[in-house]
Amino acid sequence: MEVAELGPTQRPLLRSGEKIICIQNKVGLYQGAERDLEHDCGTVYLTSQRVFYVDQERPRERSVMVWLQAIQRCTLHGGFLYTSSKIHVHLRAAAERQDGGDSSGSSRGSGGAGADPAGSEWTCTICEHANRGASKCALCGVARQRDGSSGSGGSGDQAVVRCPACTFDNHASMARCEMCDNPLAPSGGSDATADGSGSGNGSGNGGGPDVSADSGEYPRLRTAEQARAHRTSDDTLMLLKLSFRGGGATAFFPALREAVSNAVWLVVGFEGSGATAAAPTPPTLPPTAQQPLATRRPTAGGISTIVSAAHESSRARDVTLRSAFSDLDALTEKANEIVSMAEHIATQLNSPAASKLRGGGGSSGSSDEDSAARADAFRQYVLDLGIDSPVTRDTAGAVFHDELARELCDYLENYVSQRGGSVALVDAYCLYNRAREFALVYPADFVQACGKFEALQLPLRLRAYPSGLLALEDAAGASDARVVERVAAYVRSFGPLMATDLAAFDDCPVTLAEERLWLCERAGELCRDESVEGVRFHANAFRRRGVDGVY
Amino acid sequence: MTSPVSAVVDASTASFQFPEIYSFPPFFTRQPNEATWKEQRRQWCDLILAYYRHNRLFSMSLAEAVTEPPFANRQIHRALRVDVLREIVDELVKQGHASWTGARNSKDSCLLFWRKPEVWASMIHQWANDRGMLNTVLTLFELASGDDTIGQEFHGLDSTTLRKALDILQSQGKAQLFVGTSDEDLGVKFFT
Repeated sequence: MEVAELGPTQRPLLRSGEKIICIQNKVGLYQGAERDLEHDCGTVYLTSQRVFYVDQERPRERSVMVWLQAIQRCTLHGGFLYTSSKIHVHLRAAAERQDGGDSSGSSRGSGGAGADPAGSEWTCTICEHANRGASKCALCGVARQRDGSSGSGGSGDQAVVRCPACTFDNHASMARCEMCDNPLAPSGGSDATADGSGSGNGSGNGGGPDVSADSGEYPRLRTAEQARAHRTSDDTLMLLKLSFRGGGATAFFPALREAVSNAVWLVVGFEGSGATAAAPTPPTLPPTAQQPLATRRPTAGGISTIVSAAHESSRARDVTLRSAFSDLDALTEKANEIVSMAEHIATQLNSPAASKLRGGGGSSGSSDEDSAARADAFRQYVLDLGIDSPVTRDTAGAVFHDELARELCDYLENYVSQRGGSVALVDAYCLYNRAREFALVYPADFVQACGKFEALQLPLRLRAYPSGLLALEDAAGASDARVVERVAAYVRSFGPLMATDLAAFDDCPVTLAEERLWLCERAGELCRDESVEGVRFHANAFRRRGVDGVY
Repeated sequence: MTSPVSAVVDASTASFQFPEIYSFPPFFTRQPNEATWKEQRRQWCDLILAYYRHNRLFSMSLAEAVTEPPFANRQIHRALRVDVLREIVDELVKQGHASWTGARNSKDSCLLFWRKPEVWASMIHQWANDRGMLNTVLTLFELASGDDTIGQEFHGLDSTTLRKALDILQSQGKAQLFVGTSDEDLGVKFFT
């Protein structure tokens, strides 16, 4: 398990191409047989590459994740009476796991079923040749020795077995003591290396040929008890249990199993996006399929002709429909590609080289600044293109509205602050749904999710104006006092305002401008003048007079 | 309460000076904000009393009044709505500066007391005292329209207002009303 990176709204940060498949709340973790009290209640996100656990109480510190490649197999155990149903996740050994996880962007792909030898560098213990990948040394041909200290490489404490009789420090490969010829037991007391070789022997139960060689210490063990518990048998070391206290295990399990089986392919597919895009060709109907029927057209009349004519027309309709939808499928395929391309452009524009280009251009005058501004605008468009992995009712289930609220916040926060801290809900809804491409949300769900902003401590708020208009506001930015102050300043400098005037100044919808004016009126800053032209707002002259006490 | 003749004449000949707020368009729209509305209403009350006093007008028919100054400003094309005016007059009634007349609860016309009846009462009694009219019977017509009262501020006073003022004097024991054959020829006798 690794520490999970969370976004500002406490959702996991996804890599590009990663998609959330399923979400379930009220899940606790067991490490081996023991309940993990630090990860006792949280939300589990299943993505196309990882499984996240986001703690409910302290999401920042206690959230963890596991790569799907690291999962060997998983089994479902139904609940009984007070026992909630659990999913047992059997993990691969640590070293292999790390390889599988971290090198997702590297250029390997020929390995069988993801259990290929590590792509990391290692130094041959015999000739000190720095090898890459292969299991044998390229120079001397000696097989790679896997001992626990793969990264640290401390040669002093490496491979030392102390003789129990004469206390001589023998090389690890010795079976008997060099001094006293006493048999050297691979005792677990000395250090991690001896322990590792012992446990490695016991782990021949599952899978690949490399498993016995991998024997790294379980990376995130916290307490000594836990460490000991895991040392007792290798089976428990690699076992992680997800306890579904709020239910939902039966829905989660098939999704997890499928995601695990797909995980390897997804990683390979991701690195060569151009190649995979070409692979799934849209299902086109073979043109020959309809020809036999056409040639078999009967020449005679009668009922059979009518029937066959009806058949044929329905068939033709079918073909048209199918080809129409196959186009749509093709579009869907391409949509992913286009989004990834846009993301690529966005990252390029964001890269240091591009910013240096922009920064260096400052000397040669305003045209460069102009182009920099344009580039910024373009980058913004590209960033606005879409939401990669939208939350849906299917993936999120019971926590749908919470998750939707978080995603909304992620997506809309920038937009709201750009628009002066307040946006009509209708506009936000349109914008958001456009970004979701296909998986649209219902207005009711949208409003309900917006209502949860405050409870989830997100930086946006849903505000209902007295007229019934709903708007999204920046929780910190748009206080009423500031709006009143700004509008009053407009009136002072431009004279009486109508809602349309303010809408033009603020670049906001007229309804929202109207609300702002009414807000000022309630604050006593403005007063209205109703006439045939409409309602115009003036600075409140009554108030000033009241102070002076004229007459 | 001394009202020099010259002052009255001067005031009636000069045209009424409208306050600045009169040309402020929102003045003619009822403000929804409660605090602003209170202030607006107060200013309307002041304007109405000043205008009616200046022009020595005593009664108002609301439906007609809203088409004329001071309730309509032709320069800025604004006019007060009748229901808003009714609210304002309600406030005047509450302050004792007006009273509804006509049918019960119709609130279509009102009397404006730009001087309170008590003030009129003491003014009339003062006059009677000055002229040595005490213990003499006078008709109401003589008081309001007689030659003796020309130049007095209560000359031309509306009969209902006059009656109110005399009622007050009677309740104070400073006058006695005599009922004649009709309402027109009511008599009054002042005492010290």
